[in-house]
Amino acid sequence: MVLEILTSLGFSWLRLAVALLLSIATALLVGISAGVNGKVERGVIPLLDVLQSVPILGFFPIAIYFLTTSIPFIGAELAAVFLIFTCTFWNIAFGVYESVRSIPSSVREIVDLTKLSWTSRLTRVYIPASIPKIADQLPASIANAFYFLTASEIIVLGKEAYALKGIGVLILRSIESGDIFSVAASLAAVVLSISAAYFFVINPFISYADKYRFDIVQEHPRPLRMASPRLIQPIHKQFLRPLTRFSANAQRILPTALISMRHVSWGVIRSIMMVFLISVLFLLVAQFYAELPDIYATLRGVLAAAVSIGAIPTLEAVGFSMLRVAICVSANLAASLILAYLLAEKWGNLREYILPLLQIVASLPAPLIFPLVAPLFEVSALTREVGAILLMSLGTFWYIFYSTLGGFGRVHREYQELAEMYRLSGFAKFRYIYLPFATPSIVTGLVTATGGAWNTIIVAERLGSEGAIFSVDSPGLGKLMSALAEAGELHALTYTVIVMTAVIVAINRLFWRRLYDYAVKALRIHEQQ
Amino acid sequence: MSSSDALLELRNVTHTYRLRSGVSLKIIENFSLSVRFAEFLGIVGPSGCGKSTILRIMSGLIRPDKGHVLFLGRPLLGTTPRIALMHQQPPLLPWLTVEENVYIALASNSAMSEEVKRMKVSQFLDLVGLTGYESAYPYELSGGMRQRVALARALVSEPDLLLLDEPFSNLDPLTALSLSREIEHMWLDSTLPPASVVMVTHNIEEVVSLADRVIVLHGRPAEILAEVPIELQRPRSKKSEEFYRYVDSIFSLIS
Repeated sequence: MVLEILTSLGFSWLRLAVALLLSIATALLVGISAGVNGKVERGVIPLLDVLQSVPILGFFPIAIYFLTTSIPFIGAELAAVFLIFTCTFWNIAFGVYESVRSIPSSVREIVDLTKLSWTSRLTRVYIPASIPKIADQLPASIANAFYFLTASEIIVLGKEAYALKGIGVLILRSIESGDIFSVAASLAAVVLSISAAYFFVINPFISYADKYRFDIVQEHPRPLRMASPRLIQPIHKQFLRPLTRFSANAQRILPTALISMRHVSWGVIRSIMMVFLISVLFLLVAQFYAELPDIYATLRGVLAAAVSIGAIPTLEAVGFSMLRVAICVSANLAASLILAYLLAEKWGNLREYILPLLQIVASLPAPLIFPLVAPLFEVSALTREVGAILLMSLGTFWYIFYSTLGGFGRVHREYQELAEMYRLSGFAKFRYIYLPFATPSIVTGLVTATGGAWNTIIVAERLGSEGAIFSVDSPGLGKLMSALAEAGELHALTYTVIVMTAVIVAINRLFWRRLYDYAVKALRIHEQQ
Repeated sequence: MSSSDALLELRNVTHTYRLRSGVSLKIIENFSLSVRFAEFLGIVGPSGCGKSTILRIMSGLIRPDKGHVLFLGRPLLGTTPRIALMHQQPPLLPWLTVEENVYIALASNSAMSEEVKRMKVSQFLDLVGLTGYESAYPYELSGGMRQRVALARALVSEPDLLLLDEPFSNLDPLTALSLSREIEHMWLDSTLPPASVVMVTHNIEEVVSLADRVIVLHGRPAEILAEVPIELQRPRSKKSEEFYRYVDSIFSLIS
C-alpha cells in the first residue's frame, strides 16, 4: 500500500509540476506581451478574462476530445496536465501582466534610452519584475490545483471514463471501498508532501522573490512576506536541524540556479516555443477540418439542449447559485480582511506559524475530504446550504486572502511609521491606511475569487456519485452541471458551461470592472507611484 | 553637558540591523547625544552613517538594542504626540483631503473634543499658509505645499520636539528657503510649537543658516567627529564671510 501511495503521489506531483511550469512560462509569454504591447493587450486581456471564467469542467470536452483522439498513449495524461493548467494559469498571467504594467516609468524610460536588446529586456527587466507577483500567486494556484485534484485525474463523461494513476483517484477509491486507514494514510502523505514542497522549494522561491520588489526599502526591513515555515522547529529542534540546514542551502542554491537559467540564450527558448505553437496550431486546424460535420452537429445538439432545459429553469438555477456565490464571497472577504490584518499588524510573530499552516490547509483536496464530514450537514435544507457554502469557501478563500495579505504587505514603510507616530488605533489604521492601500489588490482578488466560487459550485452544490450524494435542496447551476456531466449529456453540459461563462463575464464587466475603476479614482491611487 | 537642560537624551545607545541576507550592520554603538531645551540641533554626515536611524530612535519609532533614551528625564518607550517627525518625502494619504491628512495626527487623542480638533487643524493649516486648500487632495498640490501639509500635521499635536529628516532636499531652492524660514519662525516664537528642533541634512549651508549647534557624524558605527556651535546672529545672511567660514570648516570635516 505504501508503494501505491508513493507512486500515485509521485504521478500527481509530476503532473502538477509540469502544469505549474507550463503555467509560469505561458503566463510570462502572454503577460509580458500584453503588458508591453498595446495591440496585444487589447486582444489578449479580454480573451483571458473570458477564458478564466470558463469552469474547469468546461474544458473537459475540448481537452479530452483533442488530446485523447490525436495522441493515443499519453493523451489522457496531457488532458490532465491541461486541466491542472486551467486551474493554475489565469491568476499568474494576470499577475505578470500587472507587474509589467506597474514597472515605474523611470525604469521604462531607462529601458528605452539604453536600447536594451529584447533578450536583456526580458531577462533583466520584465521577468525579474514579474517574479514577486508570481510568488504571490503560487500558493493560490497550488491550492486551486489540489481543490480540483480528482476532477483532473478522473475524467468521466457518461460511458467513457479515464482514471489516471494519481493520489486523487487513490483516495476516491479508498473512500468508495470504505478503507478509512488508506484514506488517512493517503491524506497524510498529501499533507507531508505539500509541507515538504513549501519547505524546500516554494517558500525559498518566495523569499528569493522579495529581492525583486521595487517598493521595498531595505533600510528598515519589516518583512511581511512568508518566511520558511518554522512551524515544527521549536518542537524537534534536534531532529529537524539537518532539514533546516538543507532548506537554507536550497535558499542559496535556488537563486544561483535561476540566475544561470537567465543566461540560457533567449534564441533557444524562442525557437522551441515557435515549434511548439506551430505544431499545436497545425493540430487544431487539421482536427477542425476533419471534424467539421461533427462540429455542426454539436452546435445543433447544444441548441436543442438549451431549448429542452428552458429559460426559466436556467434563470432559476443561475439565481440560486448567484445568491450562494454572493454569500460565500462576502463572508470570505470579511474573514480575509480580519485574518490578513491581524497577521500583518498584530500577530507578526505568529505569521511564521500560521502562514505555512494555511498553505497546507489550502492545498488539501477539499471535495475529497468533504464526504467524510458531509453527514454533519445532513440535518436540514439549511445546514446543507451551509455545507455547500463552506465547501465553496475552501476553493474561494485563498484568492481573497492572499491578495489581501499581499495588498497589506505593500503598505510602504513611511505609512506604517506615520500610523505609529500618530499612535493611530487599530481601527483607524485599518480604515485610513491599510484598507485604502490594499483596495486595488483586494478587488483583483475578488474578481478571481468570484470566478473561483462559480467554478466550485459544480462540486459544492452536488458532490459524489450514485451511491452517496451530498446536494443542496434548491436548484443551482452547479447542481445541474454535475448531474449532466455524470449522465454524460455532453450537449446540455456545454450549454450550461456557456451560461456560466456568460454570467461570470457579465459580473466582471458590469460589477467588478466598475468597482475597480471607481476605487482607483476615489482613492487617487494613480498618485501613489 | 549637564542633563538638567536636556529635552531628549540618548545614553550609550547601540543599534544593529540584521539584513535579510543574514549580515548584521551595527549602525551606532555606545552613542550619546543630548538635545537641549529651545535648541535647533543640526546633524550632518555622509550618506549611510546612521543619521536617519538616530532620528528614528529619537522619535520612539525604533527601540535601540542597548542604552537609554530619555525624554524630559523619563525613558522613552514608544512614540508620543510630544515628538513629531517630518520625512523627506512626506507620506500623505492620497485618499484623504488636506484637512483630513492633518486631522490624522489628532485622530487618536480621545481627551480632545472633535470641535477642538477641527479648530486646531484649521489653525495650523492657516499657520503654514494653506487656508483655502482644506478640501484639496494631495495630488492637486505642489511639492512645497505637500511639505507644508506635512508640517501642519507634525505640529498640530503641539510637540515639544520636531525631528526633520532632510525636509527640504526634494524642494526647489526658493521653496526650500521660504519653508525653512517658516520653521525657524515657529521655533523662535515661544508661543508656538516646537520648543526644540533636530534636523538631519546633507546640505551644509542649510544647517549653518538654521542650527545653534551642528553635530558632524562619520563612520560605521557612527561616531561624533565634531560638535560645532554656530554663533551667528539671526536672521543669518548667507553672504557674510563668517557664514562661509562655518560652511568651509564643516565641509572640510566631512570630506
